[in-house]
Amino acid sequence: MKQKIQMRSLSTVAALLVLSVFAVGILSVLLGGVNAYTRLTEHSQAAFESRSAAQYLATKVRQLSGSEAVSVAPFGDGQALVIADEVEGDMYLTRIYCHEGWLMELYSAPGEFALEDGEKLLPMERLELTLEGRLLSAAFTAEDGSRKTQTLWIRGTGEVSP
Amino acid sequence: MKHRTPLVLIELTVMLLVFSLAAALCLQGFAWASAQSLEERQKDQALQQLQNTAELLKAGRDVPESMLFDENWQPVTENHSFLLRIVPVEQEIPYISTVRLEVTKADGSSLGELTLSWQEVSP
Repeated sequence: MKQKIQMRSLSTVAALLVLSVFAVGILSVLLGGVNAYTRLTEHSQAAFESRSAAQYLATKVRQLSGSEAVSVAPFGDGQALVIADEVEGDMYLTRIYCHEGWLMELYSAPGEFALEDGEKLLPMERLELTLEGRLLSAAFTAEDGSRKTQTLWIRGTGEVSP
Repeated sequence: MKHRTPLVLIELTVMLLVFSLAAALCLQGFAWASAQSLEERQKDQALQQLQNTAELLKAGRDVPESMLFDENWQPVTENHSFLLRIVPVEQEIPYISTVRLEVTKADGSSLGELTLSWQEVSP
């Protein structure tokens, strides 16, 4: 009788053990899945943001018709890519810069403007710009610290000044 | 009354077995997704480097025929993870120069390539 009770307890313990292994397995796979998904979406989001920023700048530069003046000028506490264009006899400036974690664009007539006046485009920690002749180099630093550099040759005949 | 514990034990063991098979498939899927993600990031960076080099060539800058990069895409002189090469392509059209830009991994597998042509002199 005693041996039978012992066998039953042993079977119960074994069942509980298998159940625990099952529970731990489910939890591990679930956590693994969540981690993998989080990592993939983070990478995908970071790639989207850096690629979008790079493509946005490339499009802005490549769509220049040739007469616009391009320069890198100080704006606020950083630098901005300034594209000056004449529309119906009036001068307008497009400033592309980084401010408080955002890549921003400000399209306005020349004058005093605050950094906050621009439109928020994409999350971005830092934008470094250098202009050597007609070669524009831009380094984008994303929120996660990853850095991407882009080199663009400015076509056209417009004035280019660093 | 007959004791049911052995039956439960068998049921759980079968369940665990089925679950192990499903988990193995899931883990394989996760590993594949991670590998794909890494490959895509490398291709993205490779394309960016190719575009940057193409812009430098179009601007008339001197660019070395081959460039080595580490796993973070920083230029290195040895122990590289990626290699960018500029390969001249025979061009039949006069005054047009063509090169093929290609990025390969250290094991030689290709990550991407693009062909670039430009007018060398005025005819």
